Amino acid sequence: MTAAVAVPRRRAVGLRMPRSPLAVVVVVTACLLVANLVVTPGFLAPDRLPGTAELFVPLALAAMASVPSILSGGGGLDLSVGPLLGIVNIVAVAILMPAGLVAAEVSIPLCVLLGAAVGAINGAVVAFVRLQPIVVTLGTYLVLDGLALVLMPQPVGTAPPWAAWLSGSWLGGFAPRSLLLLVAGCLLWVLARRLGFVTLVRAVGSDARAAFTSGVRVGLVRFGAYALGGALAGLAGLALTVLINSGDATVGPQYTLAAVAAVALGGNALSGGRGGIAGPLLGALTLFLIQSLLSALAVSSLWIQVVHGSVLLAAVCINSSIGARVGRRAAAIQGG
Amino acid sequence: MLAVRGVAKAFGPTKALSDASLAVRSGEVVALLGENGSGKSTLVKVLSGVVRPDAGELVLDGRPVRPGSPRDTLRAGIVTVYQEILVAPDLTVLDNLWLGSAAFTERSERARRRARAREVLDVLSPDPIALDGPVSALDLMQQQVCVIAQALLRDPRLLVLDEATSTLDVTLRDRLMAEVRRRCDEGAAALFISHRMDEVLAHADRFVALRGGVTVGELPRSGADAETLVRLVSGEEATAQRRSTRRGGHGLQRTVLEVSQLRIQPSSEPLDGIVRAGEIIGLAGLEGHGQDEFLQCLAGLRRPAAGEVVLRTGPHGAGTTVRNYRQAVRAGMAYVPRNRKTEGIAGVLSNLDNFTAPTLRRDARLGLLGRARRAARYRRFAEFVNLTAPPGKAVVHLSGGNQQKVIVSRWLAREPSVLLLNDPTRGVDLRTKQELYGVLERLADQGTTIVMLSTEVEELIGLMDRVLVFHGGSCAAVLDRSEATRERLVSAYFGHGSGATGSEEVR
Ligand SMILES: Nc1ncnc2c1ncn2[C@@H]1O[C@H](COP(=O)(O)OP(=O)(O)OP(=O)(O)O)[C@@H](O)[C@H]1O
Ligand SMILES: [Mg+2]
Repeated sequence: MTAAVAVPRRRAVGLRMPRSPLAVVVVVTACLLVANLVVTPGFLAPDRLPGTAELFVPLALAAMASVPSILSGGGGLDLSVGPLLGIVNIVAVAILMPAGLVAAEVSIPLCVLLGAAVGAINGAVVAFVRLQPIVVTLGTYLVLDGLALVLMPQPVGTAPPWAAWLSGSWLGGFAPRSLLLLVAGCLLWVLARRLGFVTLVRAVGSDARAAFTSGVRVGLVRFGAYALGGALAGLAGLALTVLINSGDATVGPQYTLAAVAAVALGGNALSGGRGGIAGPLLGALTLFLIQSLLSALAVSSLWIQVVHGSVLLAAVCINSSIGARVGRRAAAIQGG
Repeated sequence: MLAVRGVAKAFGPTKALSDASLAVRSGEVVALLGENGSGKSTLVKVLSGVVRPDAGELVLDGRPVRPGSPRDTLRAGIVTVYQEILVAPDLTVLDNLWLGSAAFTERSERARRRARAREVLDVLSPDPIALDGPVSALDLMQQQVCVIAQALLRDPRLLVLDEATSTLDVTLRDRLMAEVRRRCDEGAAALFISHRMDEVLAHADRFVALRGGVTVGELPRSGADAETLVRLVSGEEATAQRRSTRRGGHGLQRTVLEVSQLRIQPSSEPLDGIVRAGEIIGLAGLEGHGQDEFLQCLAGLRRPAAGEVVLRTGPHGAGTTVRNYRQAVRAGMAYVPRNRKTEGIAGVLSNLDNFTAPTLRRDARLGLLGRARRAARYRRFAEFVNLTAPPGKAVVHLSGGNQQKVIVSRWLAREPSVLLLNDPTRGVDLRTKQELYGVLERLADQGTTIVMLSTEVEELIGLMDRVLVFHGGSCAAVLDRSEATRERLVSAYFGHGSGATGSEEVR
């Protein structure tokens, strides 16, 4: 080779985006939607849509509520999301209503604030006392769960008037009003993104030391992440109230694991740093569609858990095999 | 501008610093020198607020300060590039560059940030780095460029570079140093740490030496040469630049490694060649011109676009075609990777555990681990590379150079017949480098074949029997020991080969 020969430039730099982890969940959701429509032709009909939406929204918001804590890394996880839904439901029915705080513009913000406050407590202990998130939020889980039963040993069959209003719809069933809560949650997230907060959470979750040495206040960001998650859980609690139109201490806790499952299904890294809310929302939709499909097929509800679990395992395996190409090389070097 | 006096810091029983002092005036470039583990990085961390000193004071612009976190020092204009490459791999390049600056930005501000980021990256790197891709998709050198760019974007008053040049190739190093000089002429200052003597001599206005956590001396630009610096740093009589005493051939003529019609990329020239037992072959070139890929092809970590690699390590020269890494290892190859943070070590494990991990089987009898045997083996190889750190210490807490020693020694412990090394002297101090060269030469004399990628011209000239210089994805020149001079090597980096055509035998 002579010096004059033009040599090809080195390979393109930094353009190789990993294939989207959303791909799997989008395909699965689409298939399930079709399956549901086949089994139940009226699945999306206006008379059923409000009920369907009502069922979906608390799960979707619970999934969103789990996102910030997981994204913030360091073993971040908020197990207390489920019981927090329950506590918000009970406070709305058993404390705010008797106190005469039934107006939507008063009690809805209060419920969201309550969620944010509980999230902030979790966040403070995780970020400033530096205890393991899984232990801290397990503690909160038990406290909230117990508290809910103390406040309301028996289900109470009344709900504030805004709950009834939110369970209605516009446009003859095509626009269920319960979706407003989901929209509110998404707006909250978009706001956090626009303020640059989400980027900070990702940075902290991605490499906390790099963030720290770049001048990011790691503790404060983690704290904020849990508080944001709490606020979203507050919205989810409102959605739960809309759904059951009453107060019930036993429903909330079931949402914790379903929410984590939805986040994992959505392709967010459980180790933090990677992902947004689109994936977890689709993940929640997947879980929801499986459930409605199985109940339409009159499969025993006992099987639903088994199916949920299997789908979760399958999806996570597929996701990781997509994302593993880079990681495998490093593993090979160590494993030899 | 900034002065530190009498700083001490102990990590448990380890005294990283006991009496370190340093002053930097605006407009000057100060080099901080010291052997591995002498406390340079710890001093840098004290300066930048990551580590709180046990004693001593920091004076900034005549006022004593006690920084509580990097945030404080960044505000004061002290910007540090740490020895470890600290990036948030999941964020985009752009987000990484502005990480820690005010998060919320107006639209116009965002556009300005993009433009500034582009500008600084282009100053540093001749190859454009995409702003919107994730940092995890970049290679080590590009990540290092990002970290440096992040620092430069903050318009530092004092820029601290802790071995920031160690992953950069010659062009980038020069670009960076030119930029640093430009900023210092405008009134900033720089403190930089490097184990590369040529670089230090070329760029620093003043030298400060640390030994065992104590500032032992200071030299101005004038009157400093390599020997005085080495003496200052090591406290011993300087050994003159070594030139290997080994003679090329020494009776071992057995071919061990064979490469035929190998193309790294579809567009590269095919390469043929053989390597004999006991040879030391150097791979060189500007970063990204194929030498890294070539080494990985040899190791079975990457599939060449065409051709094959055969390891003749079996009895009577029986050959194994390298198809993958596992198989190459079984055939007696060992590969020391480059990025120790992600490819080489398990940080939380102890030094001893890291050392023994790949060779655990040798310490076992009947499936049980022999502790004494393991410890003895560790001692032998630790001595071999002169690793003095306590065996029980977690690797993350070792100094950068000592980490490198652990890694090199663990692969030596395999007693491979072909040893591939990817820039093993990066971040290793002068004395240790010399020792490592000795180790490699001894290994070669015992018949081990060594192929080593190096970014250091001195060692390519002094150590190698032959140097393969890569350019544009092909081997552009092959320099024998007798022909390898600094000038020829560097001109070959830029594609002005020694007339070797692609298909010519590498002998
Ligand atoms: N976090 C820590 N915990 C325990 N020991 C530490 C820690 N950080 C550094 N040390 C020890 O302090 C000493 C000084 O380390 P330091 O990293 O400052 O050395 P260095 O001069 O930067 O060396 P190198 O040239 O290899 O980078 C070493 O013995 C190291 O093992
Ligand atoms: Mg260091």
